[in-house]
Amino acid sequence: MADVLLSCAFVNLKPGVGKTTSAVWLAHALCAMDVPPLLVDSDPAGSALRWSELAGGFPFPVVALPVGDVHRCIDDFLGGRQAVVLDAPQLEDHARIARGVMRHADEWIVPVTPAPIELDRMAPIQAEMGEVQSLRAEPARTAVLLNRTNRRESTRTGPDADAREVLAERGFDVLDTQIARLDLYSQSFGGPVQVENTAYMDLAGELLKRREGA
Amino acid sequence: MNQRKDNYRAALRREPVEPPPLAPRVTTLSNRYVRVTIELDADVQRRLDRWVTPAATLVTGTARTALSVVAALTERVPPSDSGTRGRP
Ligand SMILES: Nc1ncnc2c1ncn2[C@@H]1O[C@H](COP(=O)(O)OP(=O)(O)OP(=O)(O)O)[C@@H](O)[C@H]1O
Ligand SMILES: [Mg+2]
Repeated sequence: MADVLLSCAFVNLKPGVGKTTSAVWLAHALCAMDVPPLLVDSDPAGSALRWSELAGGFPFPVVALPVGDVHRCIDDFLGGRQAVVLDAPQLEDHARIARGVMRHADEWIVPVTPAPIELDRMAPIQAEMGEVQSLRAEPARTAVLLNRTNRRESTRTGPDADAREVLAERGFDVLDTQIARLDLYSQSFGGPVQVENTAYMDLAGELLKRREGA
Repeated sequence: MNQRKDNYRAALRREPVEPPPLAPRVTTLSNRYVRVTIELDADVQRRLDRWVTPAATLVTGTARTALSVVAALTERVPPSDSGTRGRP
């Protein structure tokens, strides 16, 4: 793989957890931090690519690579870019493509809503991640992103804090940044993204810092 | 005690019910002139299994039917020495 600063993929077993929304917003945040990324849409549904089309283009390139050997194709599109953000399809329906994405990305981010029905899928995800790690030369970093949380900031009590605590007990690395459930995000598909002063700027900062620490 | 935290803990302890999808099998053949890597998608094996079982049943079923037809026919054929051969 070419020497990129950050290659991170949003992955989950399930659809509808916020992979595309997070990938698009994070890519904008990286761009705003002068690390213009390549956004790779590997979901056959093509939502990220469609979003950029509806928005009249993003300030960085978006390519659709819904193929199993996506990990071998990405470098051809990098053009010296320092970051890659990948929107993976849900593992339960497109295992081969999602695994290709995970073979490329050196950071796997699992967006999860702090609710029991979503936490119930975390053990199978952990098993799946273990399998893909064995196909890699170097293990990827993995992290959980609390998405659609009740509060903007992390608190000491409440569902967000409880989810954070039990995920950590099970060995998951939960990112400090959390993304609140806001109309700002749920209504954003198809339009241009104004990322300044949002939690995605914090997320980009946190991910770059994790990369430095690695 | 926090009921919600206990619910969350119980959810996180879920065991995988279905076997995790198999990793692709990789075989490489390399010599001085060529280097070939074959990656067999694990799904292929499952699809083959699914296809082979009914096909095998069909084949054995057909063989069995053919045998019984042959058996029935041979029973009906008159014994060779009780024929009309030899009559003028
Ligand atoms: N932080 C948030 N606040 C409010 N709504 C959100 C948030 N994040 C995502 N959503 C909404 O949740 C829904 C699912 O999000 P998204 O499409 O990004 O998920 P996905 O994992 O990419 O789904 P799919 O697997 O179908 O591609 C969308 O309606 C989206 O607008
Ligand atoms: Mg999506």
